[in-house]
Amino acid sequence: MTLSTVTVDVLDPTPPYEQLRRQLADLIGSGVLSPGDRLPPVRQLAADLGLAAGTVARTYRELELTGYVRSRRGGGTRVAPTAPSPPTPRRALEEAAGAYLDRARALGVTPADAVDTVARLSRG
Amino acid sequence: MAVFLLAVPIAFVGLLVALWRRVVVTVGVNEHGGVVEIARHTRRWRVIGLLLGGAGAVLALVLGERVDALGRVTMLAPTALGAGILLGTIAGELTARPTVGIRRSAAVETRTLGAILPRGRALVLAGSTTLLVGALAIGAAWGSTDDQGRAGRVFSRLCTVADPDLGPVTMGSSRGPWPGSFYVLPLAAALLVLAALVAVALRAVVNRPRPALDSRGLDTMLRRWSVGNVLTAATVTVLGTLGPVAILLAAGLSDGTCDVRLVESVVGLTAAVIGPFATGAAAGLLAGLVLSPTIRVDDLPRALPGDAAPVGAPVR
Repeated sequence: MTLSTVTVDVLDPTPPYEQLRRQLADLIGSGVLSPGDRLPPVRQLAADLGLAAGTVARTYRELELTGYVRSRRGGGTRVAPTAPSPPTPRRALEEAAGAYLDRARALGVTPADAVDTVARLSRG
Repeated sequence: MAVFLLAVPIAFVGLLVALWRRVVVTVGVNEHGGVVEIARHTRRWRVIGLLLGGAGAVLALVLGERVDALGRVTMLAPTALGAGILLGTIAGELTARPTVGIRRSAAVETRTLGAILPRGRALVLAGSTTLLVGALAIGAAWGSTDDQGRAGRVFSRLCTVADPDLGPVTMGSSRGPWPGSFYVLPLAAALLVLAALVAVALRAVVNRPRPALDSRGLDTMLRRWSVGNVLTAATVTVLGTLGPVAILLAAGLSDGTCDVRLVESVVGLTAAVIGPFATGAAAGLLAGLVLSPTIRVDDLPRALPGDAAPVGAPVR
């Protein structure tokens, strides 16, 4: 059995809960985590990552709102039987571009310069 | 006293077995630093707990008679020892925190007790607990009130003896101390507290944060050892309590004025066998707990394959 892992970079401008949410959503969307699989308890994952329990709890809440997981009192959090339809390529690209602009902003680069950089790189 | 002397060689054998079967895992000086640190931390706390529990047990044995001359404090010595070890384990597991960096990774896994439970030790604990509960139940059921009106403190029998001069005479015999309700109730309360400590300790071991992902295998092994230590501490307490209880049962059911029934003599004989064995096994397991598995760090870094060896052959 392959070991699924999640990684959080505390210096990344993307909040830790969002980093976690994206990775778990990818694991579920790509079928690495199957319907019915149990996610780690909030406290366990928070302790392993050295995060506050509230951060992981927020991730699980967001995943539940978008239909990726289901939480039941006493039964933990499990992957939902039917995962939400995967995002369209355009939507996925917009998410990636948003993350790129966030990163650029954190580095003190204006959005215009960031777009210029992409354009320059795309020309090879 | 003789039965306790019989227990000594069994304890010695237990110590030898613990020494012979001691597990030592060696890791390189630069390997699995997080797990090594946690292993040292939890071991330190477990030893502190063992020392505190040992001190508590000695106090219960030495000073218990002054507090309660009838032995209700003295009988709690094994529980004090077990509680000390368990509290040390809980403190160690709850305060063990692996160092975290800027990039932190975790496995998407649900850790369960079942995955790290050593089945053999769990079975030994279950068997010992069953025997203790059985012995205490028999003691409580067959106990009688003593001459001071203390319920469940002696084993009494009434019988009719044929006297050559007086004819049939009704006689009574009472033997004590007997592990009846007088002792069973406080003992049961103490053992319930111990059971709660076992549950907390097991939960603490399972929930302890994992160190780096590349040390996952060693960390799982360390957790299995910790769970084994918790179960062994509980077994030491149960067997350490069962030994004296069985010996008292056997003494109470040995010859008195009145003959005992068949079932009573069977229980008496069984208890006479179990008593010294349980006491010795408890001592042997305690030795095993002191010599629990450990991680040794090799002082020198391992040679890399291909390094030139002194004799000129590459190290494989």
